[in-house]
Amino acid sequence: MESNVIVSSRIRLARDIKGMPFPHMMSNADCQKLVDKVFDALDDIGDFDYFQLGKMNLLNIQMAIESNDISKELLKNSETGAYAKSIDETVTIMVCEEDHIRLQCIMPGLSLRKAYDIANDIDSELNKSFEYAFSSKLGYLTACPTNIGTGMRASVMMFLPALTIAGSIDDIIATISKMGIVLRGSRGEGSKASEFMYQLSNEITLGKTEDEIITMVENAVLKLVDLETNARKELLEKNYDMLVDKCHRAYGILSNSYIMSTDEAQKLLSDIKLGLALGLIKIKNADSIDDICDSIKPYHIMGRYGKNIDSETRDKCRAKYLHNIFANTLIE
Amino acid sequence: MICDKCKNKEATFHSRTNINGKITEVHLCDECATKTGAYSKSMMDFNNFFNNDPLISLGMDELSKEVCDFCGTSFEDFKNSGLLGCDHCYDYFENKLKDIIENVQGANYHVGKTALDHNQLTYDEKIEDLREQINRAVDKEDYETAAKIKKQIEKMQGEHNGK
Repeated sequence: MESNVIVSSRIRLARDIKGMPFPHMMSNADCQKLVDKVFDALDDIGDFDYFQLGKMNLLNIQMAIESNDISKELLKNSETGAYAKSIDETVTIMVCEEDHIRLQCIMPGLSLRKAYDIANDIDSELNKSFEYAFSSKLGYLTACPTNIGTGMRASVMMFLPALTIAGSIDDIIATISKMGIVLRGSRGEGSKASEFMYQLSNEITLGKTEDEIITMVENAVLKLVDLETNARKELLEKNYDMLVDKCHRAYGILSNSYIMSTDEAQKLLSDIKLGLALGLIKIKNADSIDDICDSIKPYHIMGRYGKNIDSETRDKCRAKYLHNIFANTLIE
Repeated sequence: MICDKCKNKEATFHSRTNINGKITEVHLCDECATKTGAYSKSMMDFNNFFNNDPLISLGMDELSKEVCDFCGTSFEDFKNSGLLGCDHCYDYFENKLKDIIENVQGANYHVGKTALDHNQLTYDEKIEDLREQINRAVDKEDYETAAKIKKQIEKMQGEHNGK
C-alpha cells in the first residue's frame, strides 16, 4: 500500500556564498560570474546538463517549472538565473534563485535518506570551491531566516484520496503541525483540481540535525500512510459501487472528449489514480499516470505543439492527446 | 476558500503552522503565494511576527531604517520582502533578528552539518585548490582568470616563504 500512497521524496539544501550579497541584491554581471563558477565546479563533480534562463525560450522554462525541475522563484532572475540537472535527472542545482545555490535531489517513493546522501555529497564537494555563509550559532545563513541552520527542507509527495474524500485533511494538518511538520496541497496551476496530492515537509530548519529532521518527516509520513490505508478500506466498504463508477466514468471522459481544460483533466486523472490505487480499474498505461498528469499542463501542451496557442486550442489539443493515450487501454 | 491577501481569487496555497503552541493559518491564491514567496518560505507569515517586533509596535520605525553597512539593506527592506541582503545582515541586525528567529524556528542554535572552514585549509590545500582552478580556467581558454589566480598563488607563496 505504501507504494501507492508515497509518490516521491525530495531533499533541498539552500546555500549562500560568504561575503556575497544575496541574489536579489546582485547585478546581472555578478550573477553570471557566479553561475559560471558553479557550473565549472559541477563539471568536476558529476555529469550535468546546464541551462541558462536567458538563453531558453519561455515555453521550455515554463515546462521546467511545470515539471518541478525549477521553481517560479528562479524566474525572478530571468536573465541570469540558471540551473544544472544531473544526467540521471535526480539532482537539480539552481543558481541565483532566492539563495545563491539551491540543490535538490528527488527520488521515487520514501527515500529521503538516499536523496540526502546524494545531495550531501554534492554539497560537500561544492563547498570545496565556495566558502559558504555559515555561522557556528545559526548554521548556514540564507536570504530568508526560515531556511537558516541546516538549510534543508525534506519533503515527501503523497497521494491521499481517501483522507481527502473523508474530509480528514484539516484535522491531520492541525495534528501534525504540532510535530513541526507542514502538509499542503501540491502547488502550481491546477492544484485545486489535483486535490489528492499533498506535500509533507519539515517546518523548521534550525535546532535539529539533518538526521533528526529526516526521522521526524519519515515518522509523519508513515503515520499518514497508516491513516490513508485505513481510510481507503473504509471508503471501499461504504462506497464500492460509487468508486468503481467514478473511475470508469473518468476513463470514459478522458478517452472520448473533444475539449478538455487542465482543471478537468487533472480532476479526472486523480479519479483514475484513485481507481488504480484501490484496484478498481485496470489500464495498460497505469505506470505512466504521473507523467501523464504533467504532460497535460498548458506549457507541456504548447511545447509539443511547438508554439504558443490560445486556451481554446490548448483544450482541444489536450482532449486529442488524452484520447490518443487512453483509448483502448482499458483492461476488462 | 478566498485568498487572504487579494480577497478575490480562490486560495490554492494553504498553511497552518504551530510554533510553540501559536497557530497561524494562511490561505493564498497561486498569484499571491508566488508574489509573497510563500511557496519558498515554508508557510511563514512575516506580518505575524513583525507585528510582535517591539521596535515596530513602539512606533520606533526610524530604527528600522538603519542599513547594513555591507549591503545597504535596511530592516524595513527585510520587513517588506522577508529577505536579508547578505550574510553580514545576520550580524548587523542580530538583536532584532534574535526574537524573530526564535519565533519562526522555535530554536536559536544550529546543531547540524558544519560547513568547511576555508580558513582552516592548510597552505598546501589552498595552493592545490587554486591550481585546480587554473587548470579549469585554461581548459575554458579563460587565460585572464588563470593569470589572476597564478598571481594570487605567487602572492601566497611569497607570504608563506617570508614567514
